[in-house]
Amino acid sequence: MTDLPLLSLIIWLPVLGAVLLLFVKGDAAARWVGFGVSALVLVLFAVCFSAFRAHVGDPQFVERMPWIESLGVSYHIGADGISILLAGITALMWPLALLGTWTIVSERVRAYQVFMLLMETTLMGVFFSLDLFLFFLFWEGMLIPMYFLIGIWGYENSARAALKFFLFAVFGSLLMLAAVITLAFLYHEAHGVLTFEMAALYQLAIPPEVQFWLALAFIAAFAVKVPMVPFHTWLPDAIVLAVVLVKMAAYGFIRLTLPLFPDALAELAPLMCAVAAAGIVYGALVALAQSDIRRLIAYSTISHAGFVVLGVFALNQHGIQGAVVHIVSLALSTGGLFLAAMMLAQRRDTWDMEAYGGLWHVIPVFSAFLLIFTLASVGLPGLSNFVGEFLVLVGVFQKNALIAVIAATGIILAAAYMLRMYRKVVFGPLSKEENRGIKDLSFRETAVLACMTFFIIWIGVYPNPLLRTLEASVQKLLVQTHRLAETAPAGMTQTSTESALLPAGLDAAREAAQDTR
Amino acid sequence: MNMALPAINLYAVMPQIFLVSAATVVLIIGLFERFRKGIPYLSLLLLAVSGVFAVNQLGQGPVAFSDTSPMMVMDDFGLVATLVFIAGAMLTVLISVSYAEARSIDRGEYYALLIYAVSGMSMMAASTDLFSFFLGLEVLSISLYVLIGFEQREAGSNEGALKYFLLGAFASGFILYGMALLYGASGSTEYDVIARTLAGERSDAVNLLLLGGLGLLLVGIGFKISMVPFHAWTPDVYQGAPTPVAAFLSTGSKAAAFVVLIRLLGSVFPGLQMEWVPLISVLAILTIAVGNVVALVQTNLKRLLAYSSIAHAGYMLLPFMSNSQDGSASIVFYLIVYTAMNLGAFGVLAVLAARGASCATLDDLAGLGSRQPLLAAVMAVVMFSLAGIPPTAGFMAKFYLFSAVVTGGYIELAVIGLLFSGVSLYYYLRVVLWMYMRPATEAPAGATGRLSFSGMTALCLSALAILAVGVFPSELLQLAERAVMTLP
Repeated sequence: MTDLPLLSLIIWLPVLGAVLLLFVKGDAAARWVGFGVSALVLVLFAVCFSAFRAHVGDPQFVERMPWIESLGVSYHIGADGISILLAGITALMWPLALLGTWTIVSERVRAYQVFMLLMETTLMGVFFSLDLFLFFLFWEGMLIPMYFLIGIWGYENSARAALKFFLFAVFGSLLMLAAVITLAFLYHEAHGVLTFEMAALYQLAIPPEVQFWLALAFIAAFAVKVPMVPFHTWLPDAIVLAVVLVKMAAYGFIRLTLPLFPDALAELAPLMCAVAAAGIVYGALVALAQSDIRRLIAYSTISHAGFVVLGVFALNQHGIQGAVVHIVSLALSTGGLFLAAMMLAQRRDTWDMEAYGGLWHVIPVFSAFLLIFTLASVGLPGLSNFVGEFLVLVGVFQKNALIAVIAATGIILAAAYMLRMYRKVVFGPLSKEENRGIKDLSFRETAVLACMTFFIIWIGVYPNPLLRTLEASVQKLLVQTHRLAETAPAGMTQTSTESALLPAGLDAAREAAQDTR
Repeated sequence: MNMALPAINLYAVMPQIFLVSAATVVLIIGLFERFRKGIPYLSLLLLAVSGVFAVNQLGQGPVAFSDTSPMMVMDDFGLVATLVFIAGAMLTVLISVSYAEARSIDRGEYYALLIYAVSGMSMMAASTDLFSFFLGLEVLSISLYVLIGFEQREAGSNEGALKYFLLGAFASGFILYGMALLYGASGSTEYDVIARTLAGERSDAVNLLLLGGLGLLLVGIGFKISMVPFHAWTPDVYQGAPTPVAAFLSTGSKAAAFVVLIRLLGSVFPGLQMEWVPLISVLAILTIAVGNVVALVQTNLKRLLAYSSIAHAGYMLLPFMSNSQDGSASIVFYLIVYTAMNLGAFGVLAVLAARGASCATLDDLAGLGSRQPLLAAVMAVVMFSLAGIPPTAGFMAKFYLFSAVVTGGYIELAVIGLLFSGVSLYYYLRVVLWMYMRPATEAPAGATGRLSFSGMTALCLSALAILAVGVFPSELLQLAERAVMTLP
C-alpha cells in the first residue's frame, strides 16, 4: 500500500478526471464524474493521512524524480504536518462543494467540473511541492482555472472581476518569479549548483538587505491572494474562491517567506502584524455596512484572513498553529456559510438580506445550519473558529499586546455583523409574501451542510488531532526560521524554548474554551 | 594556364541548396493548372525532406563552405535555426491552404515564394560573412514584399507591401552602409576578421568606423525584428498582409534576424560591449514598454498581435546583455516557442477568415467558446502561453529567458521586463474573455463553411506542442543549448 505514489495520485487524479470529462456527454454524467473523482481523491487522502506519522517534522511520502535537469529542477513532492492538513481540508471541501453546487451551477456544467478538478490539482500541487520551481508552476497555473471559474460562473460583472483578480495576482506572482530566479542565482553563486530545492534554499545565507527586497516580493505575491488590505479590492467581486485563496496564500507565507528570509522578518514581521490587525478591523467595519449577503461574507473573509496572517507573523508556535487551524476552520465555516447563502439565493434569486426575514418558520432546517455557521464565524467557543482565533491571539499577545487587543475587537465586531445578518434573514416577522413558498433543504443539501457542521463541532471540541499533526512540523519550521535570527532582537528567539512548554499552553487554551462556555 | 578552383565544400550549404531547389520545383510545377490543388502538399513534402536532411547533418560539427573565404558555415546553430524556419513554414503552409483558396491566391508562386523566403532565412543563419548575410536577407525580403502584396484586390495588402518595401529598402541601405564602414575598418566582411580587428589594438578612427558600422547594422536588423523606434511598420503591415503571411512574417523573418543578431553580438562585437549594452538595454525596455502599452488599447486582432510581437522582440533582446551561452540558448528556446505560439494565434484568425467569417476585431470573437470549442481552446492555450502562464511553453521560455538575464546580473532589467509582461496579461486575457464570457451579439455573417482540416491540424499540433513543451521542456532546452555550443 505504501509503495503507491500516493501524493502523485492525489495531485494528478483530478487531471485524469478532467480529461475523462471531455468524453462525457450530458450534465448529470459530468456532475457524477466530477464528484466521483474528487471523492476518490478524498479516499486516497484518507489512506495517506492514516499512514502519516505526526511526530515526524520532516516531509513524508517523498517522491523525487529529475525533471528539467539543465535548470536544476526536479519533481520533488512530500507532505509535512502543515501541508497535509491544508491538503486534507481541500480534499474534503472539493466533493462537498461540487455536491453543494450540484444544481446551482446549471450552465456549462461540464466545463465547470473540468475547471474545478484542475483547480484541485493545482492546489494539491502547491501544498505538496518541495521544489520552489514546481511550487511556482502550480501557483501560477492555478490562475487559469480560477480565471474561468470567476469569469464564467461568477455573479454580475464577473468577467471584469476575473480580469481584475488576474492582473492583481499576476503582478504579485511576477515579482515573486523575479525573486525565485534571484534566489536560485544566489545559491548558484554560493555553491556552484543550480537548484530550486526548498530545503537547500532554506540553508542559503542571504545578505540582509537583499533578503528584505526578496521577502517583499514574496509577500506581494501572497498578500494579494490572502487578500490583505490594501490588496483586497478584487475579492468582493470574486468571493467564490476566497476561501481557497486564503489557504494557499497563507501556506505560501508559512512555507516560503518564514524560513527563507529570517533576517528580513525582524523588520517586516511587526509591520505585517500591524497591517493584518488593521485589515481585521477594516474588514469587519465594512462588513457591518453591507446589506448584500455575498459582500458581507467577502468582507468577513478579509477580516478573518487578517487573523491568519497575524498568526503566521507572530512567529511562534501558538501563532502558526493557530493560523493553520484557523485556515482549516475558515474553510468549513465560511465555506459553509457561503454554500448555505448560495442555496438560499438560488431559491429566491436575491442576495439582499432585506428581502428575507422570518425564515425560521418556513425553512427551519436551513435556519439551524445557518445558525451554526454564523456562530462558528463569530468565534463561539466549542466551534472551530474559536480554537484558531484563540491560539493566534495567544501567540500575538506574547509579541505585542496592543496588536492583540486591536485584533480582538475584530471578534466583537464579527459578532455584530454576523448576528445582524442572521437576525435580518431568519428572525423577525415573515413580512414578504415571496418567502412563504421557499422550500427547505433537500436531502443532498442537508448532507453537505451536516458534514461540514460535524467537522466544525469536532474541531471546536476536540482540536487535539489537528494540533498534534502540526506540532512537529511547526517546531521544525521555527528552528529553520530562527536559525539566522539568533543575533536578532531578543523577542525573536524566545520561541525555540517555548516549544517545550507547548502542551501546557494548549491545555490552557482548551480550559479557557470550556470556561467561557 | 593553371586554373585553380577555390576549394569549396558544397556539403556545407546542402540545406540552403535543397531549399532553393525545392522552391524552384514548386514554382515550375505550379505553372501547370491541373496540379494546383497538389502544390501545398508538394511544398510540405519538400520542406519536410529538407528538414530531414538538416536533422541528419546535426552534430557533424562546423563545416565551412570554403577554407579561404568561409562565407557560410554548417554548424548546429545554423541547422537548428533552419529547422525552426522549416517547421514554421510548414505550419504556415498548412494554415494557408484554405485561406489561399478562399481568397483565390492559391497559386504556385505563393508557396514557392514561401520556400524561397525560408532559404533566405537559412542563409542568414548560416552566414559567417556580411555578404552572405546580406544575400540571405535580400532573398527573404524580396519574397516577403511579394507575399505581403499577394492579395492584389485588397487595398490593405497593397498598402502593406508598399510600406514594407519602402522601409525595407531603407533598412537594407542602412545595412549596406554599415557593412561598408566595417569593411573600411577591418578590410574584410568576414565575421572572424572583424572580430579580430576588434580584439586587437585599434586607433580612434577605426573604432569610430566600427561603432558606426555596428550602429547602422543594428538599425537595419532592428527594423526586421521591429525594435522600437523602428517598429512603426509592424501593425500596418500585419494588418494588411494575408493572415498566414503575417504569421510567417511575425515568426520566421523575425527569428532569422534574431539568429543573425546572436552571431553578430555574441561572437563578433563583444569587444564593443561597453557601447552597445546600454544602448540595447534602453531600446529593449522601450520595445517592451511600447509593445505592451499600445497593445492594451487595440481592438483589431492583427494589430493586437503585432504589438504583442513587438513586445516579445523586446523580451528576446534582454539576454544579449549578459552575453553568455545561457543567454543565447534562452533566446533560441524562446524563438522556437514563440514561433509555435504566434503561428497558432495568427492561424486561428486565418482559419476563421478562410471560412468567410470576418475576423478582424475582438467583437468577432465573442462567443467563439460555444460556437467553435476546439478553435477557441487552441486560441486560449496560445493566449495563456503568450502571457507566460504555466503549464504552457510560454512560461518555460519566459522563465529560462529571465533567468539568463538575472544570471547575467541585470536584475533590474528582468524586473522591469516581468512587470510589463504582467501588463500584457490584460490584452491576452481580453481575447479569452471575449471568447468565453461574451455572448455573440449576432451570428457572424457568412460563417457557414466548415473549418479547414489542414488548418485545424496545424493549430492542434501547435497547441499540443505548446502544452507538451510546457510540461516536459528538457529535450527542447537541450537542443537549444546544443545549438549555441558550436558558436565561437
